[in-house]
Amino acid sequence: MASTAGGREQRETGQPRSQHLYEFSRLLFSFFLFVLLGDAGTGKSSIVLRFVKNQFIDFQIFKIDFLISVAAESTIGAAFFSQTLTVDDASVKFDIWDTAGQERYHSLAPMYYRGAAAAIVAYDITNQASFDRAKKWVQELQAHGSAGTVVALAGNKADLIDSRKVSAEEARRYAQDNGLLFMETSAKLATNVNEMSLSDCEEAHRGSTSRNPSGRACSTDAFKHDAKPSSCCSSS
Amino acid sequence: MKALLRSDACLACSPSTPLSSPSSSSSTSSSWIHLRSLLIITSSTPVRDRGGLRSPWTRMKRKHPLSFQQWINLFSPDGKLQDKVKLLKRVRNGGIEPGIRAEVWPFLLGVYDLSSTEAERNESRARRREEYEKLRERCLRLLRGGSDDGHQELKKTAGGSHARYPSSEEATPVTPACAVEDYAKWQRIIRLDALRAEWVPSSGKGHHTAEAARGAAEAVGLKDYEDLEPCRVHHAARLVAVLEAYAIYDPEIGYCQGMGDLLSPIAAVVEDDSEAFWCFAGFMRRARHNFRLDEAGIRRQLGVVARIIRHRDAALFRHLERHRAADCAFAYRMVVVLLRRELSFEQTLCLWEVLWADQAAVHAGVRQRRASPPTEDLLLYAIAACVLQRRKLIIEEDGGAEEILRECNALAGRLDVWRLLDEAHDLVLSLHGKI
Repeated sequence: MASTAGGREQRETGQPRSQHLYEFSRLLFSFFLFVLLGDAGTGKSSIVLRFVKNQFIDFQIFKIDFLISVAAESTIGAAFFSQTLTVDDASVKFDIWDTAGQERYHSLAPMYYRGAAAAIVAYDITNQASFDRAKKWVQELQAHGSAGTVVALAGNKADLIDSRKVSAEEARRYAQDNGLLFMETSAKLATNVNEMSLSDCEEAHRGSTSRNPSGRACSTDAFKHDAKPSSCCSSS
Repeated sequence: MKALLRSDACLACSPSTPLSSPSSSSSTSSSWIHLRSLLIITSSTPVRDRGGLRSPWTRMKRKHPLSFQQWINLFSPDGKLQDKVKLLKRVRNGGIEPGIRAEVWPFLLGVYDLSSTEAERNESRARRREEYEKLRERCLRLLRGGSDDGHQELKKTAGGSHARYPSSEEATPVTPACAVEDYAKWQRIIRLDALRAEWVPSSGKGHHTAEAARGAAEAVGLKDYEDLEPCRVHHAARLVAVLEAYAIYDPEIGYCQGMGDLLSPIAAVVEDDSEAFWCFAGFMRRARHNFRLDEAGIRRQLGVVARIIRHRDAALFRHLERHRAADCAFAYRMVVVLLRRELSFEQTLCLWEVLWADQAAVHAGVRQRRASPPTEDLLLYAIAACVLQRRKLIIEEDGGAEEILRECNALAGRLDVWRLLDEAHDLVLSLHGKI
């Protein structure tokens, strides 16, 4: 019942990006930790599910297995996932902390974002309050996160265009002003979920090779990765 | 493989719900399914229901659950429970037959006093119903009139819930949740969680028409439910009604994600909203500490789990210390929602009623000869037992706190609730004085 739209395509070789990934993976022993933050109900777990299993769960689907139930129910505390992607002949292991959204669980978050290579801050494009909360997360990461953590802003539920409350332009400007990667994603339609993770991955790599102490410098070309509806890597 | 294991729970819950297509569960090649987990699954008996009389893991003879006839026989002609010791003993040893849960639970959860007469209970029921309806009226006023003013009002009354829940645990004043979050936020998250709560079926009467479900949803202002089956919409609407009422009743806690998990099984078993609300409030009397802003309740409980593991298995505890997991944070979710996510619906009910009976026995001063003493913290012994069952895997995998957490989060459908309770009782028996 879970859709597998936007199936996995073998990545074309020879592009600069795969080269980045290749070097990156050699550099960091093929290990990459990222954390998802954001308000309750913005679809953090759905993004993880799409990324890890390339599936989407809607409310009406009965519990099929553990992973799917994760995306269907609220996250309590935090959940931990891994996924290995193969890019050319290098495999990159992604370790993912998926956190609970409600402010009540906020005090747990530093445990997960400290030391993360990248933090994806998700908001729901149909909910202004979730965007405001995303900004608070960004501030917190800038104040208390590790220096090298790449921060990415993900406007999720991009498929719900009719109920949009947060304009892409506003979010993009905010991201540029704060040196964040930005993309609108749809865990439902599989839009940009892998792109997001890979951009993070690259950015972290770039930060580490150029010894940029902030590691957070905005990469304008990351925005060019937008709008490819299908995932770009084969899952191993 | 996991889907296969869950399937017996699914079939038991809802014969009408089609199971997943095999392709969606078996076609993964990600690192999700470890070879190790396959080995575990095949080497242990799959999830059993109440099961046979003799469990292969225990010397004790498995007791029958409390039956309807036994329940009736416990009462005197004026409807007074004659032998509370017998009641609690039976429930502690074998749980309750599904058909009478809705009647027995209010006693276990302190809604009715164990020594009340039927007349007293009727009177109390009427009074409580009135109080619940008043709470619902306030919810509806807040829903219609925007919730800013209402929230100010809630803040003022937050002190009241402190008096309602006197607690010896709280030495320092607690910041009420309503000082940080507002009612409007609770309203939103309650609706969000109600719609995605795992559907648990009511006992066969749940044939709701689409119109009735729509009516129930509209009555509580629930939206975006179009794709759901009517019975789920109806269940979600009931969750919203009770959770909102609770947020007003106890504004110090309000609503926190996880509380929906605690209510959902109660709402499925107790079909009257007011009764379900009071059972839930009784349940929350202890569970509310899990949802406090300062996390004092959860930290205390994780500390107890750690002490149990340290006393029973020093080698495992040293391993946890080496991996900076000695705080037992990996058991966070198990503690907050009382193993709800790890167990099937039926297993959850069994575990919870045994926990409640244990707590009721502590309060009633009941002790059984040759059995483990009742404890408030049986859950924590069960969680420790659950970790101890996986000691070999945890030590062999040697993967740090993350791997342990992942292992714990992936326990769904792989636990035997009665084996867990047996082991928990064993731990209580041997460690009770030391913890």
